[in-house]
Amino acid sequence: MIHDSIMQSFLHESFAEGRALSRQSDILTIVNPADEPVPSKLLGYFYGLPHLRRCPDGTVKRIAQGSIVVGISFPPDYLRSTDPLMPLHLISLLAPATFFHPNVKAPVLCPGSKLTPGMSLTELIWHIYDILTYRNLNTDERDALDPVACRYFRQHPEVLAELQPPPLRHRTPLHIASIAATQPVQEGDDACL
Amino acid sequence: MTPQFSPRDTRLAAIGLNNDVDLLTLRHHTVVIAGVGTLGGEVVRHLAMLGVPMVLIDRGLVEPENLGTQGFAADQVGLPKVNARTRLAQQLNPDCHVVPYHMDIETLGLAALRHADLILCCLDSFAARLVLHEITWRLGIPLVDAAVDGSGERLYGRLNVYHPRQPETPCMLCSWDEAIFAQVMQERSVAGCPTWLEAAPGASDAPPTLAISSLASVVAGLQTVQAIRMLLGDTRGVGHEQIIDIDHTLFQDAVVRRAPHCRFDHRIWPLTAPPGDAWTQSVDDLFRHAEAALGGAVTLQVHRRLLATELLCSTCGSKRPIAKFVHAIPPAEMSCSCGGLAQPVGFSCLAAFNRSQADGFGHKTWQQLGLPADDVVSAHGANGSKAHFIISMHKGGN
Repeated sequence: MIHDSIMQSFLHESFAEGRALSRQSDILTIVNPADEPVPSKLLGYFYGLPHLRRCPDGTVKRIAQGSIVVGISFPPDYLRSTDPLMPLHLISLLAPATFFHPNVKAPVLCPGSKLTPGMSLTELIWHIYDILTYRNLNTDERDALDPVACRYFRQHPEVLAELQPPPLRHRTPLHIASIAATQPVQEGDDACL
Repeated sequence: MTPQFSPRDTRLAAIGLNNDVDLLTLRHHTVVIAGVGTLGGEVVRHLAMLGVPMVLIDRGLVEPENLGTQGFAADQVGLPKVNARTRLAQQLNPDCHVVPYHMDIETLGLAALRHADLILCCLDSFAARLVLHEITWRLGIPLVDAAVDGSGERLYGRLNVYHPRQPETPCMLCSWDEAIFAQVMQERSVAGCPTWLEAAPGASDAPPTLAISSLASVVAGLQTVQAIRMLLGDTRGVGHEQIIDIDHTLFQDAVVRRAPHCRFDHRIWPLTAPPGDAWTQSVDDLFRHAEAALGGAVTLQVHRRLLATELLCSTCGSKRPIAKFVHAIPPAEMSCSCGGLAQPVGFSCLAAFNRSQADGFGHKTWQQLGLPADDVVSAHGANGSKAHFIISMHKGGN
């Protein structure tokens, strides 16, 4: 990817931020998949997150500790974008495709209206974390991607209290994520029974 | 042969129109007016009287709510605004050459306005302004940007003059802060998440500008004066911002400086036209041409466009390959056999690609990929060299 010097500088700082946040987190690893010196595409691996998935038969299964992979792709004009679909192309939910959330319909993840051009990677990750941990969800079908999920959470509000996500920024002596990062995430992991 | 001027031709020393040469100079330039609503309509009128050739761009139709502020006739409701303005301009001056384009500025290819001598921005949104600004800067064309307060609550206007070819002059983004960038996205945000799943939702419709026509007349008058000065070579207004506050009877002029931390790189792109056109030239053809020009392997990049390479159905999870610019994917192609909607995977979209990444679509023409008319493809060589190619939609090339 080719970028102007201003965007290059932003990407360089972003990757450094992402790596710094990874080091402070038990549940997040940021990866430069193409091993570019100044990466414009990054993968965010979130580990150990309790979440819900929709099974092929339509039932909703609770996953106690699951892996979620998010792709972040900065377009060259990210700093001054006017594309209303920019958030859609910026963030992609890559796995699991069955992630169950009113504002997610893989690969589309709607982080809300607060995304602005030039938002830092750290802020993006926090927005993504809020979605993946159900802290940010909208049960109004008029502003949601999955109407079935909207109805589910209206009918089962207790589910939110039962999902106890680990903090994003917390580091324990034994860092499991660094081991898990070497293993590919497969759709079959934590699959619906 | 001595040019024949009609009795209507006026020498106006106050704006630099002193003689026949000045008038000829004026009439041998082409001015693009983006936005022909409240403000742009007035500018069209002023320039038509002087016989300045114009290209008008606006995506809107005349609506009943425009009649009180934008100077359209009642029988023009339903017409494209550019057609209505063209008709008026030709009534004012049959010798004035006006070309209307009923289209959205964002669908324009980067090089579509390359033959303009001056661009006047009379648009009603930050987002559209930003797109136009980038087009004019890359082409190196001066821009006179004007705006009026559209809330209907204040008599307030603004005028800025930008000239990319003058060293160290500020661009539009030099004075933009985080709040304005946030406003751009809010302005453009689609109506609720579900509209993201609809094909090509496009920008939200801007509400009508509620500005009294006389405010627009004042600002348009200033904009016209600046435009004429620029066309006659008087660049004294470049780098200045004029604030017109009729509420307080204030007129302020401020010098704007280039911001060291501006998000824009202020580069003008020299454009060349490779052989062929968008209908006949394939991606591989351009790779060959660019490699010959830059002497080695290149990466191609399209301005402000993303090329989708796969679609993912959120209902059944099936994926299928595609090679089309995101904005050009037809709705029919996004339907999945399961009944669901297949979306382009953002992470797989390409903003730039090398030969191996283009393996699946290199044989396709730019038109097949959905590139807009007269857009620009940039080539970047491994040694840092660059070239910018116009992909013309005109059969036969540029």
